[in-house]
Amino acid sequence: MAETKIDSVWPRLERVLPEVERPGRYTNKEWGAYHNDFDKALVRVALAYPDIYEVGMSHLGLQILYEVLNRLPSTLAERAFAPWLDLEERLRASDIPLFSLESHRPLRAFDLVGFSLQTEMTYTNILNMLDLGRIPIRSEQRNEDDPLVIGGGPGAFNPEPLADFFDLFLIGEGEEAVVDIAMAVADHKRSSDSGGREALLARIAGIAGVYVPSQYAVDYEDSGQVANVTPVSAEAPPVVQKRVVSDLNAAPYPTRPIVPFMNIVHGRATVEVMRGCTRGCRFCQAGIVYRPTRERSTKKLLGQADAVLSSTGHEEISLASLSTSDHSEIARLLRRLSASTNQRGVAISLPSLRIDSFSIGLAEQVAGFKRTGLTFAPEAGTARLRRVINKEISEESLMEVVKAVFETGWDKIKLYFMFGLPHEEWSDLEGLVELSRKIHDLAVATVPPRRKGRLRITFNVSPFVAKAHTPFQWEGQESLNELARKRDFLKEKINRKRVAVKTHDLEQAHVEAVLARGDRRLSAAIFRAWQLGARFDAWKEYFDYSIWTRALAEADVSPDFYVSRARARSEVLPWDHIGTGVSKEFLWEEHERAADEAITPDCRGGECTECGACPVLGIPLISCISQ
Amino acid sequence: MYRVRLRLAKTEFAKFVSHLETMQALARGARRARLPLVLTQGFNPHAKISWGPPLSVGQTSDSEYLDLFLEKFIRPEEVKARLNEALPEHLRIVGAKYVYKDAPSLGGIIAVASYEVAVEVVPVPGNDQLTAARARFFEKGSFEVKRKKGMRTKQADKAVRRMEMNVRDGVVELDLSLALGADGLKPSEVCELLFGANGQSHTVLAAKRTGLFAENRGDLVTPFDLAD
Repeated sequence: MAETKIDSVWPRLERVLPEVERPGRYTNKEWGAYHNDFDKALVRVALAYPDIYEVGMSHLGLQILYEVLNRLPSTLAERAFAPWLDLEERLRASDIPLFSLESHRPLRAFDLVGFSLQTEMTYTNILNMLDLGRIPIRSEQRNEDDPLVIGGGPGAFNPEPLADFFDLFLIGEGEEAVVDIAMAVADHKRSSDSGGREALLARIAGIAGVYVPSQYAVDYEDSGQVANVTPVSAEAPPVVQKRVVSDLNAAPYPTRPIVPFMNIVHGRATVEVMRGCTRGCRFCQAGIVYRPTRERSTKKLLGQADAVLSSTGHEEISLASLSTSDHSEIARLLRRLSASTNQRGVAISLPSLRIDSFSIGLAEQVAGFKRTGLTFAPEAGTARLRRVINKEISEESLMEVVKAVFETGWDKIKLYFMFGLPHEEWSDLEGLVELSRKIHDLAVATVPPRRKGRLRITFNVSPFVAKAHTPFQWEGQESLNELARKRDFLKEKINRKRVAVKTHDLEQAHVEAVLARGDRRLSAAIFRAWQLGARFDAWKEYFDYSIWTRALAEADVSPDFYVSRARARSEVLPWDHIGTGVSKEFLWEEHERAADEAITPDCRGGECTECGACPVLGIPLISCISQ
Repeated sequence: MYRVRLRLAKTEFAKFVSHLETMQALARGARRARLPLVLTQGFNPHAKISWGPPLSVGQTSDSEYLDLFLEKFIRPEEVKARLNEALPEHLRIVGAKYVYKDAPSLGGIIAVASYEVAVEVVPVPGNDQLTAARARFFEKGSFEVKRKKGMRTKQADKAVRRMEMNVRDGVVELDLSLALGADGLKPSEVCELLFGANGQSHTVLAAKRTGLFAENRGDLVTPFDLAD
C-alpha cells in the first residue's frame, strides 16, 4: 500500500520474455481484459492464482471476481499467476519482482493480494509468489507498506496450515463478500484519521465470512491433538460462518469474460448452472461446503449463454456445476440451448454425468462427448462399497448405462474409481477387477465389429484422501505401503490390453493428505519445503517427495499423526471454528451410517436429512421446479 | 461462396502471440463480428480461413495475410470495420479486398518477405564496416544453417533479395528482403551470418515484417495486387 509511485516492470520483463517458454503467459491485452489506470485507482486488488496462466485462466471463480471488482467505481483488479520455472530463474537473476498482468506492477504495489486456494499442492507456489512479489512471507513480518494477503476458495475451509502466511481468509462464496472488502478498503483510504494497516485489518475482520487467524489462539494437548481454538479478541466469533449467495439468478456473472490467446486447459465459454450438491457422497468436501443446492433458471442460463458466446466467439460452451445433470430442468435447458448453438456451429459440453440420472437423450445433445467419450464416476468397484460412500448405484444400473452408451454409438468411456476408501476390503478391489472384465466383455458384445478397433475403456484409479468437513474426516487412512500394494494389485489384475488403467502418484496423495487435515503447526513444514525448492507440487514431474519428507521432519511433524490416525468423536478438529452450515453431528451420523452401508438420499427428493445448512444459513434449497 | 483477402498488422504485445494462437484469435474475432463464415465439412466443422506464411514469435508485422470465406458478400470496408471492432487491440485489419474464390492459396503464392530489423552490435560498427560485412556476405555466397531436420545449405543470392544497412544512434538497422521456403533465410540467421560469424556479439532488439510478396513475371507484387 505504498503511496510512492511504483513503475511497471514491463521494460525489464520484455527483455527476458524472448528467452522463456510461452511468453504469452506474462503479457496481457486479451479480448475482455480490463486495462484501467493503475495510478488513478483508489483500491487495487491483485487476484493471484498459484499456478501458471493456462491453469488459472480456466478457473471460473477468478473470472467472476475479476468482473465484480473491476466494475466497482475506483477499483482495479489485476491478475497474477505463478511464473514458470524458466521465468522465475530470470526474475531472480535480474531482480525483477513478480507482477500483475494488466499493468505489470509488482504484487507489493497492491492494497490486497488475494490467492485462490484450490488444492493443497499449490501452497508452496503461494509462498513463492509472495517472495517473488516482494511481500514478506510470514504475515507477522509485514509492515505498513505491505498489502493485506487474503485467501479464498475451497482450501479456506481448512485454512490452518496456511495461518502463518495469510492476514485473512474469506470463507465461502466470494462475489458479494469481495465487494464488502473492497468498499472497506476504499472507506479506509478516504478517511483521514483511519489509522494504519492494523485499523484496516480490524475493519475488514468485521465483515461476515472473514476469518483472521491472528485473532485466534490454538492450544494443544500433550497427545498432540488440538485442545481448543479460542478467539483472542471480543469481536472475533467462535465460529466464522461461510458466505453464501442466496439468489444465483441475481448474482453477478461475467458475460464478457477474458478470452485468452493461449490454448488454456479449458478454452471455451462457460455458464454456471447451479451451485451445491446434496447427493451426499461421503468422501466429498465440495458437497458439504457448497450447500445448499441453488439453481439458476433456464431463462437466465439461456440469456447468459447467448451473451457469453456473442461476446467471446468461442466454439464450445460448457454447463458447469458439481453435478450438472441434476439440474431440475436439464433436459429442457439442453433442448433449448442446442437449438440455438446448432445454428451457430457451437458445441455443448458437460463436465461429467451421473449414472443414475443418465439418459441417452441427454448425452446425444452434447456434441462434445462425441469426440471425447463419456465419463462416469462410480468411485467403488462393488455395490457394497458404493453404499458405504453413499453412491447408490447397483451393478445392474451401471451395466445398463454402459450398454446404452455403446449401443448408441460411443466407443470411448472413462470411469473414475478410488482405492483406500474407509471400510474397503480386498473383495471390493477384486470386485473392481471383475467390473473391468464385465465392462469389457459387454462392450465387445455390444459394439459392432467395424467400431471395435476404436473401443477405449479407461479406469482412472486414485488413492482416497480424507478431507475436512466430510463424514470421513475422522478416518485413519492406509499407509503408503498398503496403498502401493492395492495399486499394484489393480494394475496387475486388470487386463491392461483391454482396459487402460490410469493411476496417480501415491506420494503426492500422501502429502495432500497431511495438509488436508493439518493444523497450524504445518506452516513451518510448508515454509521449509518452499525453502528447499518445492514448486508446482501438483505437477507430477516437479513434485519431489524427498523435499517434503525432509521438510516435515525438520518441522517436527509426524505425517502419520495427520494421515493414519483415526480421530475420536470428541476431538476438537483444527477446522471446527470454520462454519459450513452443516453440523458436526450430521457429519458424525453419516460417518456411522457409512459403517452400516446405509444410504442417505438426496434431500432434493423431498425428505430433509437435517444437515443444518438451510436453517443455519437462512436459505432454502432453490430449484427451478420450486420457483 | 466469397473470398475476402485481409491484410493484418500485429503490433507490440501481440508479438508474443504465436501463429497458431493468432489464427484462433482471428477465427474468434470473426465469430464475434458475426461474419457469415463458411464452415468446413466433416466431423468437426470450423471457420474456413486460409493463411499466408507464419510469423515467428517475437516479430511484429505490418503485413500478414489471410483469406476469409464468406457465405454472403459484405463490402470490404465493412468486413474490416466489423473485425477491428471485435479484435483485441494489437491485431488490426489494415486492408481488405475480394479475390476470386478459386484463386491459388496464399501459402502457395507468397515467396518473399521484407523485414526491418534493429540489432545491437558490440562494438558498434561504422557504416563502412557494414558495407564491408555486406560485401563479405555475398562474396562467401553459400552458408550452412541449422534447421530442425539438420544442416541445410543456403545460397546468398537466392535467399537475400535485398540487404540495406546503416547505423543510427548506435543501433544497426537492416532492411531485408528474404526468400521464404526451402531457399530462404530467417532474419535472425542473416544477423548471425553477418555479425556472429565475425565474432561480434549481437542482439536482435526488434524485428518487423514489412511486407509479403508473390512473384509475378519477375516482379514482386503484394497478394492484393494479384487480386486484380
